[in-house]
Amino acid sequence: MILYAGRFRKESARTAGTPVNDMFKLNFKIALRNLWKHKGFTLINMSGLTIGLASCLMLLLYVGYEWNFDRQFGKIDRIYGVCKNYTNNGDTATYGPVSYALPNLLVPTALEQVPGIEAASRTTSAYRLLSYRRQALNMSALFADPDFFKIFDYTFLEGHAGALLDPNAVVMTARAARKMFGESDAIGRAVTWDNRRVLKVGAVIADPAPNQTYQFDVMMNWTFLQQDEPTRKYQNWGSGFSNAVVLLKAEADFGMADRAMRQLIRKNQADLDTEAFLFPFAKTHLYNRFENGKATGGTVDQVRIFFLLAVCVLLIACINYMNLSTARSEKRAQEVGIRKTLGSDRTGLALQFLNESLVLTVIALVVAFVLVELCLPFFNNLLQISMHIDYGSHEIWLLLLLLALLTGALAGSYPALYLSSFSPMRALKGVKGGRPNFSFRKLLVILQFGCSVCMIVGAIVIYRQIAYLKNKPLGFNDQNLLEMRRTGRLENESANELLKSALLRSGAVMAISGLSTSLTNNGNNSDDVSWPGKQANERIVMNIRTTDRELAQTLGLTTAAGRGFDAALRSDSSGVVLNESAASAMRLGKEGIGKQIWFGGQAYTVLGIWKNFSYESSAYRVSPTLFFKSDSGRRKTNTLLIRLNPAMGMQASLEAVQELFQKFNPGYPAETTFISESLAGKLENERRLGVLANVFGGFAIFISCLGLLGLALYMAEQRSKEVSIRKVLGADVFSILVLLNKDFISLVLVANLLACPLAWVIASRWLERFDYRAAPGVWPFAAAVLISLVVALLAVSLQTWKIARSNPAAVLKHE
Amino acid sequence: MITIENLQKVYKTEEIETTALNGINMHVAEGEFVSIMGPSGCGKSTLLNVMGLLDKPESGSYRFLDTELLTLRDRDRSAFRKKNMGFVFQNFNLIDELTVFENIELPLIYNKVNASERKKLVNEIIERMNIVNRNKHFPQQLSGGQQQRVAVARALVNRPKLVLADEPTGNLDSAHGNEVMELLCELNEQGTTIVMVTHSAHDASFSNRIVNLKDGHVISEKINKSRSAELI
Repeated sequence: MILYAGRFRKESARTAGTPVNDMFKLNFKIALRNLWKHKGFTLINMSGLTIGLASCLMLLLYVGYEWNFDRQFGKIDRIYGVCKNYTNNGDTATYGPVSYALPNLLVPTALEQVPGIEAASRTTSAYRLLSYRRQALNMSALFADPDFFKIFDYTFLEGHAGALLDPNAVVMTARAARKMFGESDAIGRAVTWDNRRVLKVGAVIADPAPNQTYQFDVMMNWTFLQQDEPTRKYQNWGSGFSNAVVLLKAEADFGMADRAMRQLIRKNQADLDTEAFLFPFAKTHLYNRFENGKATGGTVDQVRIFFLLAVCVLLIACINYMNLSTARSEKRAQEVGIRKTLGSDRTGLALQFLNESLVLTVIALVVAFVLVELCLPFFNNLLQISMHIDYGSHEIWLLLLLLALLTGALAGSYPALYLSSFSPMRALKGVKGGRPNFSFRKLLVILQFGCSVCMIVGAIVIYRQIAYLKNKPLGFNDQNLLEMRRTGRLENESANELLKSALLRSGAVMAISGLSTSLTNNGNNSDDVSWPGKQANERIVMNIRTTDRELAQTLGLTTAAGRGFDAALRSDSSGVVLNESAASAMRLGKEGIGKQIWFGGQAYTVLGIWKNFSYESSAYRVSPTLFFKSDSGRRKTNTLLIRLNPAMGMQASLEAVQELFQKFNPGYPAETTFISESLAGKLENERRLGVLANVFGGFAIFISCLGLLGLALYMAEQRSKEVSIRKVLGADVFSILVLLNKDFISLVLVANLLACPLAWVIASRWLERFDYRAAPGVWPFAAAVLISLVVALLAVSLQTWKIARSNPAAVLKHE
Repeated sequence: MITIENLQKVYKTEEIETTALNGINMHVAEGEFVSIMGPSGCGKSTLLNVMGLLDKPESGSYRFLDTELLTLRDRDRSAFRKKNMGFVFQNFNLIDELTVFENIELPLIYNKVNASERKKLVNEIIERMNIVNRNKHFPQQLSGGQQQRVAVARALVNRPKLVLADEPTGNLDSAHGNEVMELLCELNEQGTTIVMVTHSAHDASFSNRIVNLKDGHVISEKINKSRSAELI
């Protein structure tokens, strides 16, 4: 035979190229067969990675949703909102870009006096009835100058931007038009505004994206607003009801425009200590907390927390993957050894393992993607938002690609580096024991559990804080209490009185009272208040409310001193009732009853002091509030507060109220708002945070446990001989269990020990934002420690129980 | 072909130092079949691993066809190994996840041989090793003797200059063991240089020369007259 006579020569190097491919193919084959052979292990590993990726994707989707608020607009980089700083006694309070605090004249004057403005518009909103034939619906309306459409690029489905030039035209969103006219064309149809004014539909635009600041059903010209409500035409610079958006020219100098804007108010009315300034409109949603005239945070803090959470979950999943694959791959040491003997170098091997991890990541990512799509409706419901995956956007695909690469590389890096480092001899003998690497793995487990424990503590603290705020005595009874607006005919006092008495007679209602604004939403405030002993430089902003005699009874208020309003005493219309916050701000106690204070240049007698009641939000201190008595003239109430009769049953009494409202106010829908719901809505952000921390904290724990399970699986193999010898020497099952679980439990304990202080710091910092807070206390920590221990113990025991019970003879024979 | 001078290799654990090779000198001529024998722990496997570039000694010289190998970098060592050496192990060391065909094909892939040529070479050797109808099987589905034949096939498919065998019959019964030894002999006769570590005097009798190690030294050498005659 001459088969081996010719030695292998270099000529085959010419054919390089395809063999590299073949190598990948072969490596891939080995990887797949390996995965298939150890299905249980693969399942654990893959499901951990998939859940981790899905959680991360979901959170990133949410972060992206919040982050992209208003960034859909093409010129967003040049669009600015206008904020107002208001300095009082050295303290600066800031009204954000959508606080309805700017004077009517600001925009027209700015267009003349501020350089670099391309377009600007005032905006304000209203919620009124819009009707078409028999169809009548309450719609939220946005009033704006025609420039609005030069600033924001909405998509016009019918008509064009010019429609807003016409004071008698209305621009509708597709959603509103569909509600009104069904599928037929909207343009040119005549609709009635508040049963008073006829408007023509001038254009239809696509619905604003849910993550935009301006949400509305219909839009009308500013001139129409001023025609409809002449009081809006005022020329005063001191107070305001509008917002403003400004589009700077591309070449404009922001600094110059901003400086001019800051001088604008004082330049036009010298005695005012307020300054308006430009604020990037893209930041409106994210930065809604101002300190000393500077945006310091707000929603963005929460978005950052969620981003951190996404990174944490991904990290935990990656650690898991690393842990499991290194543990697993020690069984593949022999393969590494053979490959090295046959001539594979370290780089080749490292690439092979990286390649494997990338492939797995991509598979996991695809499954995760499907999971996210399936869970999205559920999440939208949970978070009360509407996110969707935009398949047309490059960012999504880029994100997925990045996520796959990053996760693949991160997850595969340690196995790749570690396994390829085996010397061929050591690898061939099979890596057993591997003590030093086990300690690295321990570190990873500690990190994983540390993160999970932080999340659990975080979730519990948030839930406790929300529960605390919910259960904190409000100072009034918010149950069975609802609010209706005095629309249409009810603006008339006598019609209103008729409805009130009819409601009381029906038995559905126990008490009714009027209020100038909605109870829970900010109404007017003013610092034009003086009291005996007021310092010259003391200016305190106080809430101003108009109400009637029945408020105390309807809400269930407690009088701290003096009395409330009395219908019989006409003199009460020059009286005022304070809440405790206002009284203490004025340094008035019981002796203050009967003294005079001044508001808007008029004197009022202090009739009484009501105990504080948290009508705005239970999270914050009650604002100082002055209550005035409504009269038949200028001081009117706009809202009815109605206490339902619990004896009649909630549903029945609600229906009775709505029926009577319809009867006395035909043509206007009977819209009711429960005060308890409005108050809960104020904690929506916190609730959202709690839900997410809980759900994803839960996932994190789950993934960590999968990791622990896998590690236990590995350890079980490693120590089966030791266990068998111990059993031969007389150890019982229990002592073996203790022996095996001890190591894992101590890891989890160390993780807890490290994580708890960190969690405490984070929780305390989060709580600082609330005026009223539940101290973190011991038990969130105790719960986290307990949960992590019990779950870890269960996961580990699943395996250790098996080896502890195994037949020692069988094990030793195989050694 | 191989000249080894004054090789030193010490294994260190935390407490103990074990000298595995203590100044070994050895020469292997091209076409020779050398057996290395000695009691457990005498360093014979270590020597084989050093010759196969699987392990690094502390000092000494190892020349292979006038190339000094001990100073090579890691990458060059593996390149040299895959071009010039084939290995046969006691426990076969086949990759469980690959079929017989794929296992044998692996060294060719590492040597960047193209697919059609690989197929040809693998099929030739499979035929030669009498395992044709097994080429789609996985290692666990084969008997020990068959597995070792696959391992030998893998060691040879690359046509290496040197085959290193570490107790190739250690896990086989005597009938299968003899088969493997005859196979090695045949290869040797066709010109392949073989260095084999063994415990078994019977196996050693197949070789040209027997080197005896003890405590890391060469203590004696014996020419196997019945076989060495052919060589000269």
